[in-house]
Amino acid sequence: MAEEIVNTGRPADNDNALYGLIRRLLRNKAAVFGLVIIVLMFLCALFAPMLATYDFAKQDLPSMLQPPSKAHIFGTDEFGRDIYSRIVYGSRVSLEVGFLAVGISLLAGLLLGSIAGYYGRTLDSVICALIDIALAFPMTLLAIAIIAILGPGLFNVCLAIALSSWGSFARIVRGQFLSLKNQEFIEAAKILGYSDVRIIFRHILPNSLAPLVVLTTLEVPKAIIVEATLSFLGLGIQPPLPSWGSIMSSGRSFLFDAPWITVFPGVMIILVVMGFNLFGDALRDTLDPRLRN
Amino acid sequence: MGKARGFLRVPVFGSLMLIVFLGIVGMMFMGPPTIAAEKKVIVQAMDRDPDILDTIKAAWYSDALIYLHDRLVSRDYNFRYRPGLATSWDVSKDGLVWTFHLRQGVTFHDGTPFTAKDVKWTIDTIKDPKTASPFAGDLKAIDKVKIVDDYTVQMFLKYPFPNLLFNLSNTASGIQKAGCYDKYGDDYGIKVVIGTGPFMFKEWVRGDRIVLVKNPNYHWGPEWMSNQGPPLFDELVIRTIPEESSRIMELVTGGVHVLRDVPPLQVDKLKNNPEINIFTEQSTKLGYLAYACDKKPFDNVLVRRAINHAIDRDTIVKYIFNGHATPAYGYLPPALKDEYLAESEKLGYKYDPARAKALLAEAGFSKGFETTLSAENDSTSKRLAEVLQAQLADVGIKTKIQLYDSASYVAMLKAGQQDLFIRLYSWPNADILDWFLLSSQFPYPNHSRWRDPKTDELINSAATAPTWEERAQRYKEVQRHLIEQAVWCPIYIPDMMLAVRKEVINFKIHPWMIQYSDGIDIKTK
Amino acid sequence: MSHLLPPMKATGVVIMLRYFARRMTFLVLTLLGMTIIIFSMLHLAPGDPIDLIVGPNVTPEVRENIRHQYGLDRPLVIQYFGFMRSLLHGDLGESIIQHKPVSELIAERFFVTLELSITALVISFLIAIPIGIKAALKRNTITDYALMAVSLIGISMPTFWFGLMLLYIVAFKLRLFPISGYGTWKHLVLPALTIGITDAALVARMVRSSMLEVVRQDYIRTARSKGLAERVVINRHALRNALIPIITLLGLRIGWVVGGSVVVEIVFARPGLGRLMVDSILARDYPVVQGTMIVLTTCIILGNLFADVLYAIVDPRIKLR
Repeated sequence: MAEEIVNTGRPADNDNALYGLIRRLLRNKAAVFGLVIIVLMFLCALFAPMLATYDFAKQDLPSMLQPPSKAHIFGTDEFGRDIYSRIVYGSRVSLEVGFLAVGISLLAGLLLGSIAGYYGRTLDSVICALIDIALAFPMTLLAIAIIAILGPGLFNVCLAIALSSWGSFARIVRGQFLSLKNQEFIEAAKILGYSDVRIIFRHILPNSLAPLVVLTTLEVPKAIIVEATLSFLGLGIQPPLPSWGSIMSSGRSFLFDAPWITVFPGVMIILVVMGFNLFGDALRDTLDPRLRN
Repeated sequence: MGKARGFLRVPVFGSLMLIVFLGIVGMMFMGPPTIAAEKKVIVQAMDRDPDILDTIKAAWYSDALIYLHDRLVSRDYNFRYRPGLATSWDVSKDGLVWTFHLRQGVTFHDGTPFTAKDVKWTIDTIKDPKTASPFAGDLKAIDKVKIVDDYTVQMFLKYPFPNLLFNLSNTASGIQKAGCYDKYGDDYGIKVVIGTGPFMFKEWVRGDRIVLVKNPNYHWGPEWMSNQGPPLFDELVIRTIPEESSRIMELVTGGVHVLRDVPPLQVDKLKNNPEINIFTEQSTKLGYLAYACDKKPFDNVLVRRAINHAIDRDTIVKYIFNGHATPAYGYLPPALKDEYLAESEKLGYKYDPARAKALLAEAGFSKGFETTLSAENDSTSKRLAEVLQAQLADVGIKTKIQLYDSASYVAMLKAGQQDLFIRLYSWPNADILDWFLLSSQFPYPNHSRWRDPKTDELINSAATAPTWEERAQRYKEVQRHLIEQAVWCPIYIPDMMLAVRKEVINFKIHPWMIQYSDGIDIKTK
Repeated sequence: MSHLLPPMKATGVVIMLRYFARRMTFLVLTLLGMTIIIFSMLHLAPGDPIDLIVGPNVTPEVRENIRHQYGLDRPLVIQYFGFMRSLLHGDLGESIIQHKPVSELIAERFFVTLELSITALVISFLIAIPIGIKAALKRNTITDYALMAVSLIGISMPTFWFGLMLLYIVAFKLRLFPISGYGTWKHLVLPALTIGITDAALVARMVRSSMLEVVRQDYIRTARSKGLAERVVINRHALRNALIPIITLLGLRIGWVVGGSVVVEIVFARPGLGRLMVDSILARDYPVVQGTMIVLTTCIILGNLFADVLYAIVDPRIKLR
């Protein structure tokens, strides 16, 4: 059975619990595997120029559409560009989009969720309704519609993904606020005369960290997949910028004779998304199995 | 306790539901069992679905319209104008009155006879401003149409127009049945299409396919065809498959028999496929890089010439088109034997990056400049854009590529947002220059935004020349002027390539369109 | 299915009705909210809304005419009411590119998407339920790990990529099914499998969790201690309670399945609503985009409601709320 983190309301008391948590996490094989993949991806993005064997934009027309070989381990695309190098650099874009989109989502969710949970009543009902509606739309469809309005491009993609996923964050934050705001240490803080803002930032939010971290870990892979889908449809990252989705999009026309352009970025996405999912699931199980529902 | 048993049923119930559902779906869509061996069907793949199957109202003409309708004038394998629904024609001395003698014994698909009133109705409806036909401008030379008798029609022109034969042999001039709009209303062009052509309309599943069946009563095929009677096979299906790779895969697996516009990169692989034959011909297409000539710095002729010198056409032909194209220096394709300016290459601008940089410096851009490069997002244009980007960068011009699908590309050009952009035209007549470069066509389709009185003067003089020869001469002057002014940067003339499966017999390539009724047939298994 | 419901007493009926009333109110509010959002999208877009409705190639006079005709010069609230009025009459506007009523364009393709979505959903649950149950019953064994590993791969795949792989391997290389198109049941198989299998990956996990929850409960232990055979315990008690929350899942997955069919229709060239929407976005044909959005989300919301109703019928505990 998982130990519960005893909530005394003071962040400092949680430190020992934190070390215990990390130890337990590392004992979970799936978590470690997932974490390794995530770290590898970060390293890949960070050290892309060193890991890539060619310049991702360099055209080498005489070598176009070559299958995987010693010179080009993932083959070349229709401009003779090395797919492996493009995938390595693509990790940067995919990560960037993933975290930027989820970051905006998190902030929006935090803002709206805390307002709803803390102030309650009408504000809560209105925001709750908004959340329900936001969650009623499927993420891909909503993102596509938002791109329809804003037009394609990296930042618009992040915005579109953020607008489709803020609901889950808001819901969790709201839930946390609702359950925490009536606890003793909050009452105490109010009596002591602390301002609302201070209470929110120094007492409630830090204690809501756990489910938010889990959700972030699980939303990033969703963002990566939605970005890939948007780019594939021509609504996302525009060429020649390499994102895993845009590489597959340009490979679309050559599925017939150069399927490797489409296969390898897809495999990369599967690996990375698996990593985040494994780690996120393990994190959730370790922090509080009740979070499953 | 009774409740528990209920839920054992869920997986069973679910499976039953699925089986029933699939059964219903299957029965609905399998239709009556087709005896495939006996019905001969040829399938052609296209990349887009038409908006409407009506030659008068369409902005984009589906191939189906060529086979559903006949035209007054036909074009043979040498691009010569021959009788179609009109058996002969005379032109008055001043070139202003054309008399067409119509073929007798022709019937529409609904059994009614074809007569002069149908010709008059068709042309009047095209020209009627209320119809808003995109083809109206092409027939503006016609002032009015007069019915002399059931089989004779006279057209009175506002000015001599030898090109009238070209326009009357176009898909858009398919002769329609008088009054079909009144009879069928909004259904016409969607659920009903009536013509006199070798194929009849059967059905149109929007976004998926158009099905045509042979017209068994057809016996008025043009005399230059080997077969003047009905087509030799039963059905022609034109399928809409937007994905390029899917079209090719369908061809390879036999789901599709005919593919127009084979992407140049796939040609060689398909040539090696024993089940597929490739037919090649010189096309009447021209691919070019264009400028918004009223925007800086493209309003400076030195800049336009510099860009012409910056483009390495040979590399493009070799790697983007795998050698299946010819470099272009002029404004018309050489296939237009009469009108093409033979000295285009000599007078044009050769690849010379040093000269390009010198010209740019002379124009005040020694450090180059930044601009946008727009293109459509099909595989060829995308790749061409990226190669051009690299070549322009070599002379200091930094470009940002913007890709569009065909509809939004047009919208963008109409809105005038372009700077540098890639275009490909496909048109077998010199009047394409009128279309694109007359100032009256500004801002669209004159998307080069070129307004030049001298160009207007030369083109108008050519378009109204009294004879065909005079016309050809004057169009050569037009081309000379355009080359000198470097209005465009012509790049390539692609080969016309068709891929046809070996089951299709007697396939011949025609400079304009596949002539399915001319003896083409298909072997059934 | 009457033996599922306890004998209906008057109070039972009242509670049921109250539940339905609550759900219906929620439904109406969600639909309204959705229309407000879609309506405001037009005005949130950068640029003049007129450009989105009529396209860029009209003269200023025509522009002003259309502006007046569409009431875009009136206050937003009034515009919204006008919009809703047209909507309730079935008028979704006219396509800029094709000059046909949007509702006509949608009607032509509605069934194509409906067919795909329903088939995919059915396939998904048919695959997921047995797998999830099996994995739960064989918890922490090789079977469980293997099944969950496969499911993990399934949820980590972009749907369009899986579709492309199926297309290339099954349709092109193996020639078992058509590559693209619409018409026979054969054309439905690969698209439906693409969505069905990827959805099943997620649903299987949920079935497994639900099953595990239930199996841990006290009443299961009671049944076991009574000496009942394991199979009876599972089939009579565990299954039913585990499957109840899965039915709500049906409602949740409808949204995902419809979203997935957008991409799958493009990969397999099916002439459905999803493809219409994406093509219209690329062509800047805004009235069609708006119309398809409204139709698709209405169907999703209705689908959610259907699942909720199903849940209410099936779970007797709802009445106690």
